[in-house]
Amino acid sequence: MASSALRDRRILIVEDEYLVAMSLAEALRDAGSIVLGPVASVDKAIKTIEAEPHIDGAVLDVNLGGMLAFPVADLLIARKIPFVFTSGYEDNLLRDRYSQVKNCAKPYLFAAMEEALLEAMSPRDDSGARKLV
Amino acid sequence: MITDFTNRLDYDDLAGDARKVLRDLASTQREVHGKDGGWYLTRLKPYRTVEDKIDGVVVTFVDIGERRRAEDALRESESRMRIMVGELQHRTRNLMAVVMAMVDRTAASGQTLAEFKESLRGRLMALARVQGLLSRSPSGDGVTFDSLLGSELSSQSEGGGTVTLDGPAGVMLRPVSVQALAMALHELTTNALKYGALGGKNGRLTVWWRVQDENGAPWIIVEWKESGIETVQPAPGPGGAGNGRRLIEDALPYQFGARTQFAIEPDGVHCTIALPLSGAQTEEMQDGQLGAS
Repeated sequence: MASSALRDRRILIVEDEYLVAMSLAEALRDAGSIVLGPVASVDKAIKTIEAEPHIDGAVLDVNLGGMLAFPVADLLIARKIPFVFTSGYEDNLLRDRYSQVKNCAKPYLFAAMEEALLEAMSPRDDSGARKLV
Repeated sequence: MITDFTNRLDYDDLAGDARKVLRDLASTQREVHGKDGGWYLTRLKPYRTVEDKIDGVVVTFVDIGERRRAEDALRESESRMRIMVGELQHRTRNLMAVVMAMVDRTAASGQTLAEFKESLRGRLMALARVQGLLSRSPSGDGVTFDSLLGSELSSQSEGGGTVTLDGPAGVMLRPVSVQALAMALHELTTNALKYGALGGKNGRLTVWWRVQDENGAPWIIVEWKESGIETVQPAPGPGGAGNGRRLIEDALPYQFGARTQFAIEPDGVHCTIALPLSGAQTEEMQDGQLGAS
């Protein structure tokens, strides 16, 4: 695979669209990640986060079966788990509330998601170098 | 008395404005809300006598309720339009994401290019049909099970076999579940045409459905039963039931908490789908366990 930076990283997928969830899971596994989930609802996402002691990063679909995923986002932030939104909505819906979280707009290529996840998981320090958290 | 009509208007400072008009000798106007719910354009002008002497204030009221209502309606319809455009954008982007994933999944089944093209086209057409159904539905979102089934069964070229439909018309599906159910019905239909009851003269397909109450919530139970044919077990890989079967066994439980069962019996496919018609998904189906059916 092109990048192994996500190798052995435990990534939670919260995405209600089955085909999209499976495609992302497969791409992440190909990159060497350990996929948690995928889960399709706010309830299941919260249960999974509460039950998992170790999550390195998450991909969070904003609309889960008609429900907004904000309670999940809040829990991830409280647990200091880096994550990326994925949404068909325009960015500004999220920008007001979660200005620090990147939205990887649907549809996306895996390379873009990988980049967004890595960025969320390894913020640049002042020298511009990345440091894995 | 000026207060005779001011107490019918939300215009507390009419007297103050009148004093100002007398002082500055300049007219003034305001749009004022009436206690009757209407709107009035209130104009105050100094009253000049023929001797060119200022002798009071002339107040005129013009009923502008109609104009205000039109403006309000326009504002409201503009904001509705903005929301709809945003929602359309959201749906379109999601649909593109589904199409991309569908291309991945279809390619992953290892067919030849010609087979890949045929499967993908079929799936895209099914997706397009369901978008059409969704947009034509009167409430903008609801689609009934019988219309979805009818659209899927009649979409493909006439096969052989006898089709019996047995269930009530007008069962409204949850808008969020329409697309995935359509895709599942598409896979069943395609599969029946290729390998099953719709492929030959002697095949029979019965689709039976009912609405049942489960813990106070309505569910639709669908039974798809093919018979009268010799089943050729489709190879799990190329073009076979693999993809459709996964949609039914995995996608519907994953997305909507459906309970499903898919079996290839000696004389044809037998599939049951139990799908909630309201509310969020229930919890216990995660492992795809089937209840009594």
